[in-house]
Amino acid sequence: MTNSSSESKNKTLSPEAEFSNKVTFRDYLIASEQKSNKPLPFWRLLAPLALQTGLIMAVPAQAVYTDVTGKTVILQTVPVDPNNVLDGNTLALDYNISRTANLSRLPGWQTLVSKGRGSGRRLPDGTNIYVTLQEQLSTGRGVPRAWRPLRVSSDRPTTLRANQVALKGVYQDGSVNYGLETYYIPENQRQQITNDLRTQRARRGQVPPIVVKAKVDPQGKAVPVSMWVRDRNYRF
Amino acid sequence: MFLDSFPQKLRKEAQLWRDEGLISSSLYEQIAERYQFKNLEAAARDRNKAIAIAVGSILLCLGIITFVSGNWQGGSREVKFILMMSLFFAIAITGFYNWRPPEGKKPERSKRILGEGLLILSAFIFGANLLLMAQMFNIVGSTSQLFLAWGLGVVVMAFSLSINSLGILSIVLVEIGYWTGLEDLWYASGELTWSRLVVQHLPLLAWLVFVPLAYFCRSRWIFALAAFVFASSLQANLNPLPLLNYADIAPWVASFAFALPPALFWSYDDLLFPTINYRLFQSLARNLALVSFGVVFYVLSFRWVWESPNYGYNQPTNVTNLFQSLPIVDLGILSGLAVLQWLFLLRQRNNPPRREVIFTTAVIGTFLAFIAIAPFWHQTISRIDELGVFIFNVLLATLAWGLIQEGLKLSNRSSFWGGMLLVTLQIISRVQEYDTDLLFKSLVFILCGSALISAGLWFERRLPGGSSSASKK
Repeated sequence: MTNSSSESKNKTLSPEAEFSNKVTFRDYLIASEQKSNKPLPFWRLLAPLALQTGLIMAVPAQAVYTDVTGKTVILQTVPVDPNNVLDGNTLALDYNISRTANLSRLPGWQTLVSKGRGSGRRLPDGTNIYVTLQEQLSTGRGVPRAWRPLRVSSDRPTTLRANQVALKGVYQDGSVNYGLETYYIPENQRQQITNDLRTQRARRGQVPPIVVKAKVDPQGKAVPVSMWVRDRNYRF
Repeated sequence: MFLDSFPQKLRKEAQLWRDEGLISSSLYEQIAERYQFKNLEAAARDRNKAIAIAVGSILLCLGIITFVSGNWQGGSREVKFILMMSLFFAIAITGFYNWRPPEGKKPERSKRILGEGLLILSAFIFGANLLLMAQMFNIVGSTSQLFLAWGLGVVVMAFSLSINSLGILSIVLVEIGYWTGLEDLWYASGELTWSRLVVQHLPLLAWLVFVPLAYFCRSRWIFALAAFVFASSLQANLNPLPLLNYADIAPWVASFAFALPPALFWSYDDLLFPTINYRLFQSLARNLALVSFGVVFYVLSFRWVWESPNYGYNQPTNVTNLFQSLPIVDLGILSGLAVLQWLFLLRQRNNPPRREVIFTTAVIGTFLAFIAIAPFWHQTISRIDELGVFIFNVLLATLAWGLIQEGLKLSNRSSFWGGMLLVTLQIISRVQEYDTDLLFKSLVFILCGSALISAGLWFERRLPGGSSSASKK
């Protein structure tokens, strides 16, 4: 081993290697400093800036699409935690149609469960569920009536009447999420909402209902538009 | 940088020498010329200006942030959006022109720093904008998606402007996005999203995106970070420990996971890039290869990795499942790259790019062969717990010995100390692992300590010229 190592030590290095050994990384930096300090054309900033802007715009793209193409629906909810309605800046809502207990009474639930590979009566996490909702005629002015769920299915229903929509949800940990569950509430509305909910709760002694207006696009994706707490409307 | 007052001290001393008659006044003039004594005041002024600008702009930013957050609720969605975007553009463009003024103007150092700072600030505002858009439209995205998108935006900017700090920032962001998204990859069986794809293929992406970025930014830091992201994400995605994880369906996973990083690092050659004609990162890559050999040998020298696991979590149960959860495509491409690099390396055997004392291509090849074959053998042909542990202990000792030898032959301080560290670590780990007597443990600690001290003293005395060669490293 000593032989071979001393041999390799004496072996003449290639010109590039010798150059690499003599010239350190720092030398390279200094040598290329001039070139790297040349003024850059403006597009070198503009191109990545445009891409970043595109990324920022892409965040709400789906929501805007749904907002433009969607159909308005009304959903019935309660706050998830009635004692602490506003958890920090966000409001968490629990929809009637999020609960499997309510959904399991609808036609189509049995086929959904048997189709899934979950054992027994449980659905596997991540199952897509489409809930068909139908409009209820509201009585005059004030808070509109929530739409009534008609049936559930695992595929998007192809034939829907004009007063029906199919809302897409994902089953997760015992409830169905529609992407409408948490909202950011601005500071100035927070106090008002909390007060409204408190007074109503004191009067009726029950968890106050909240009605949410949302838009649902043809693919079943939903975005929230506004909500009613008592008879006051809040836009998101 | 700000405290670097060597020229000032020198000026004081030189004036003293001149007054004492130690040096002639012409010599003093020469020194003054060389160290630019005349510009010292201007430099100090520049520095103070830079500090003033930096502190002032921090206060300005704070003022703007407070103002915006105070009036934030009032505005509508559109107003907020326009406000944020115009702030973003304004800062990015101001930063760009300060950092690299248009032709004809002489660039000033303080302005450059200010400009770079503004560009970094704009990168942060970009992230804030992403977050605010999600908040304004009530979109519930995952943290991992936010950070990956943010990192993607910043990496493009870093490529285009070749700014070192932006490159490092983007790697950090992508890494945060990766680690927060990794849990998703294993435990949630949801649909395929783009962030899941990125997390799954990060080893490949790190190699294809961040390594070229290192050339654009001329930064060894970025290269090292890219290598780290690559190696760590490969391990986390393949999850090869304990070795019998995939014994039934994919016994080759561990071999790839352990052998790929050192193989790629050792054979790395800058000249493989068509436009690069200088070996910028090769020596760094080789050092990284030795580090990864050290880590692999150390990990595989433990007994528990060879024993059969008594818990079976997230094991894919069939081949389709395996293809979904493991980045097979990445392994294919990266292995192809490794083979290519090795062929290139073997072709240049006669004029080695680096002084090879101990770690010749043959030795490294043997190391790699052991890493690749031993785990595979263990999982498919016959269980070799004892032998495997023994082999990797021997390999670890060989590596340590080789490092020490190389350190001695080339008078290289870091490799000598790396080898010493490995030996000590190995001895102490083995003593801890095989639950020995307390007395024996104390004896081992004492022996290791005294050996380290004496070896260190001996080595430092042996180094020619004290510190001259050490500073070269």
